[in-house]
Amino acid sequence: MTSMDVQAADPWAGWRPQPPQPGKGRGPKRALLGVAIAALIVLVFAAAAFAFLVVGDSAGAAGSCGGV
Amino acid sequence: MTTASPTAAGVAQPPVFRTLRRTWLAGTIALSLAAFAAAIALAPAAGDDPGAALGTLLFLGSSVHVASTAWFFTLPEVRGHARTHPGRYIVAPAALVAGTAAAAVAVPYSRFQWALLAFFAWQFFHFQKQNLGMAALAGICQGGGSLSRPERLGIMIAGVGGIAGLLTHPDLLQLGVDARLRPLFPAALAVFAAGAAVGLYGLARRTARPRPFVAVYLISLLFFAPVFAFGTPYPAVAGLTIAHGFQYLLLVGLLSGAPRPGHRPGAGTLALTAIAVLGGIGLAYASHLHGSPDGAARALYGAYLGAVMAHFVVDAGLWRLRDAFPRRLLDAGVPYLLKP
Repeated sequence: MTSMDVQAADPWAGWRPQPPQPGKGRGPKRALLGVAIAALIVLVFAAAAFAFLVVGDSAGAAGSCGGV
Repeated sequence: MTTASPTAAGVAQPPVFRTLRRTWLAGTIALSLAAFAAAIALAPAAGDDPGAALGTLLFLGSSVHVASTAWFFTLPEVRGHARTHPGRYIVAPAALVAGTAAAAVAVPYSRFQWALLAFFAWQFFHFQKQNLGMAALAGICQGGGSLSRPERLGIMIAGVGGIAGLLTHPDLLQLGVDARLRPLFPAALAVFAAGAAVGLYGLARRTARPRPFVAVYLISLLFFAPVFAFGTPYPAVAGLTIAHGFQYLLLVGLLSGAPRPGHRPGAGTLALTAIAVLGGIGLAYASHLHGSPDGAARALYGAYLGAVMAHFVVDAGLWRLRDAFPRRLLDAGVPYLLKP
């Protein structure tokens, strides 16, 4: 089985509605995706702000290679 | 809402799909509009550096977004696909990096800048191809179907007009060359306006026009409007650069956050963040070496240009939805964008 086949076997299966099981909630699992998206936004911005202090502020309008 | 919504095929969709679909639509619209607004509001006086805030947005929208493409190669299925299609994913990127590195050393920068006109034409064509894809995804995920022929044609004609506008006015790209084509700038504006008219005609003929789709479509169609509205580089061009990069980071961020069997939640997102930021720092550093008297430094600058072009080539393959592999890749990672 290739890795693509693994992906094709519905990676979202755990997110699909399941019959209710006594004593088991689904809330925390659902919240994880939101946490991942938020983490991306926070980390990218925080790291970029830090990186900017190293790189400087001479970026060109059309990308980093402008400003000639 | 906690109940599952059925698809056209009758298969239940997880409720989270609706949230993620809305996140992508609202995020794409908000990031694009905010990018244009920020570029206009934060633009420096002519000849000045952009300053910390606009410089950081440009760093994210240019170098960080280009570097994030490398994250795809952390996926085993992408590496496998690259091995079976080495021309696009291995040979062409390596040749572009090596070729431009050698050219940057061998050719004086005063002449090399002329080649940058072609580089920028490719870059903005790449932007407009992404706009086409964004509008198509917005139509599909809203149940309005993909783009009609006039809608596609309108976006591409407007893009050609925008690119022509930039090439006839290279001051906007901060290039020190003058092809003496400035008298053709109004003709470029006419092409852009014709594309907008064709696109609006296509939009008017559409039977279903969900508002989020209309917003994404208009952003795509009128993407190059700032080129004709402003006469200095940052208000005219920086918004395009930032909007394109942020649209890309949002979509790749959602892909990286998709569940993968055998992987911890969030692992893909963390890997993407690390690759994009560290790679972005390296690219931004190399991009400023064009004027160096040192040949090795200029080779790094050339390699930077090659890496950006490799990003164009790899993206053109990985997002081509008429091919089976990109469809499977996106259907596994962002299925909520391929089904209403």
